[in-house]
Amino acid sequence: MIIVSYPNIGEYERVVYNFLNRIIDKDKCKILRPVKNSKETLKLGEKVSPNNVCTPFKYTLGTMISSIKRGANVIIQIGGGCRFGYYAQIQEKIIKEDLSYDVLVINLYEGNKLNAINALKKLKILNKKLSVKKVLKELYITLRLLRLVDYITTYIRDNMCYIEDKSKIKVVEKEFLEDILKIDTLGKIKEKRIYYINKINSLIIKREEKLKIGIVGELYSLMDPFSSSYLENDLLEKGYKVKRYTTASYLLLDKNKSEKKLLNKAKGYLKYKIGADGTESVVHTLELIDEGYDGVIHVKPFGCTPEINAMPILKKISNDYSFPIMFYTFDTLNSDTGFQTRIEAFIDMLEMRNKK
Amino acid sequence: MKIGIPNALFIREKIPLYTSFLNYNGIDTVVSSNTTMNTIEDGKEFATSEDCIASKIFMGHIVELVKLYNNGYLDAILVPRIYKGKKNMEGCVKSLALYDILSSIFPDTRFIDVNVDYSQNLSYFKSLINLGVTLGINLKNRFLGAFYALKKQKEFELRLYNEQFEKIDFKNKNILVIGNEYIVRDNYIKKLVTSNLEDKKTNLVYACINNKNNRYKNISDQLYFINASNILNGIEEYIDIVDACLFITGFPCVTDSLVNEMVKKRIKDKPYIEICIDENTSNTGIITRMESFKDIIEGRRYL
Repeated sequence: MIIVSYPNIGEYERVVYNFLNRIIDKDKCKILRPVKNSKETLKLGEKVSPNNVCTPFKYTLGTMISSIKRGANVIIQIGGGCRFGYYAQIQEKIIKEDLSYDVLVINLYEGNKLNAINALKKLKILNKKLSVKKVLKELYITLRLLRLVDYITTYIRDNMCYIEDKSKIKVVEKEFLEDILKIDTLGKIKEKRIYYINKINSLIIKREEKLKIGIVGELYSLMDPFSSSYLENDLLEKGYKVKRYTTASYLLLDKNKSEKKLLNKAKGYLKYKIGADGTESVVHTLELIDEGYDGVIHVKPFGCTPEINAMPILKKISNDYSFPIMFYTFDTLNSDTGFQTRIEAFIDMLEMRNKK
Repeated sequence: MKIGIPNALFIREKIPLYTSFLNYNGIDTVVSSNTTMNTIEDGKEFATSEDCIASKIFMGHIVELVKLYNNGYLDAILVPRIYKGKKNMEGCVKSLALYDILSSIFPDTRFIDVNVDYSQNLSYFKSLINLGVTLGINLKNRFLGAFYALKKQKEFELRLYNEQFEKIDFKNKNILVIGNEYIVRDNYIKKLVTSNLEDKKTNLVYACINNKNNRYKNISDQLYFINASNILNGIEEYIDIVDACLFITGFPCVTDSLVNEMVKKRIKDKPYIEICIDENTSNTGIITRMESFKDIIEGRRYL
């Protein structure tokens, strides 16, 4: 029996589960959902990772090892851009040679590029009868589902500050997350979109002025709550308006289309792309300033060069517009208390600026 | 006209290319001096605290050139950028942003960018032609200068390779130094680390100087970093003729961190040592480690 698993990134693992569930041969293959990132999974990954490697490598390796310990014998790794594209080969070596696990690691990317034909051939291990037509059809539904997930979660993020009883929106969010696993047709995607938007709207009391904070930075820290010490949830629960641009659908579907536009928007600060999401961090900060946001928090894992590249440029923007930007680096030795203190001080400063 | 060229990062390897092109067209060049402790101190002041040691050294070289620019000795500073190489290989992520970072930090200094991006058909040759356009060099001289510069660069690389190959003597201990050229052959880091190994019976072989035979795929078939693939080519070429390996990495280079993991699995039967350098590395600690490493290599010869 094939037991397939994959690394975790926020709630997007539910979308991956949904896709795999529709393409596998259910008689011969089972899906093992990865556990959420936690201190335990991080410890598993950290122990066997190279010292100076970026933190997402340790997170993803940790969830992979955790899945193998729970019985998985096939691991799918997808990654591209910056050093993500090279993760799979090293992780495979560590799992097989250092930890001596007998598992198959499928890397859908080859040398930082997705080769669709080879990826399909590799996926055939999950279902021998898998056809190109079937994969394309299911992939289309999955991409639409991904759009729905990002649409609803962004809608929740945008409106949470206008909802008095946060527990009610949490219930709606939980119901939606459960639904992600079950949606399998385009019709259901449309239906759920209207259903959840109405449900969220019914909870909104009054749209009044709130402190507005933008979050920019590295994709993994932004999309996986544990790896950024639940920064986003924390700010939302405290009643602030929070904006984040980076989502999976943006990265997979929109990013390549908008690269030239991005550099145009960053005119005066950037002439070239500065690697991975560094360009976005600069452009989105400029957009947040235009939209009247009160401050920006820039997050990244330790050693993330594209975001380190963005930092001097963000500092210049901060000086030019006298706009507050806080930089925070996450690594494996994070202290939640130290982080909370810095966030509180930053918010106090923003509130004092607003009063002035 | 006088143009400054920083003697740091990936630019070090290509200095003959840029100086030959500019000198051919009657433009004087000033290459920043060798790295010292002061260079790093100057660099630290302007670099981001989390930058790698190589970037801090680079920033120190830029500070030296900016001082010359402010005193009127220079008219501009050259900042090359390597985005994509042949077959979609990628340059160091730091190199992508150097021009924009420097323009932000030193807004009153004139920086000239040279972009190498094979995905947009911008080879080294075309990037030199574009540099010629920026500097107002006429069409004929642009082409002749670019051909001359590429020839000089090739000659320089061949000379380095031949010199290294002639030095290899099987009666002595040969140690393979693994790391980026701008780290392992930088003056300051050489003094800090490799000078402790050098004596009459020890010969250092640099993996970054090799015959570019594209054998890196034997170690890692999915590698897409230009510098790392060059180092792996060198490892494949020299690994069977050396006695030991010395890894020198700059803190916190993630690419090196990933690639070294692959390399260690390739060189299982040779003794190796990994030295990670940052701006606070102490000389004493390094000397102790180097001495014990030498003892290990010496001991193995009698086994």
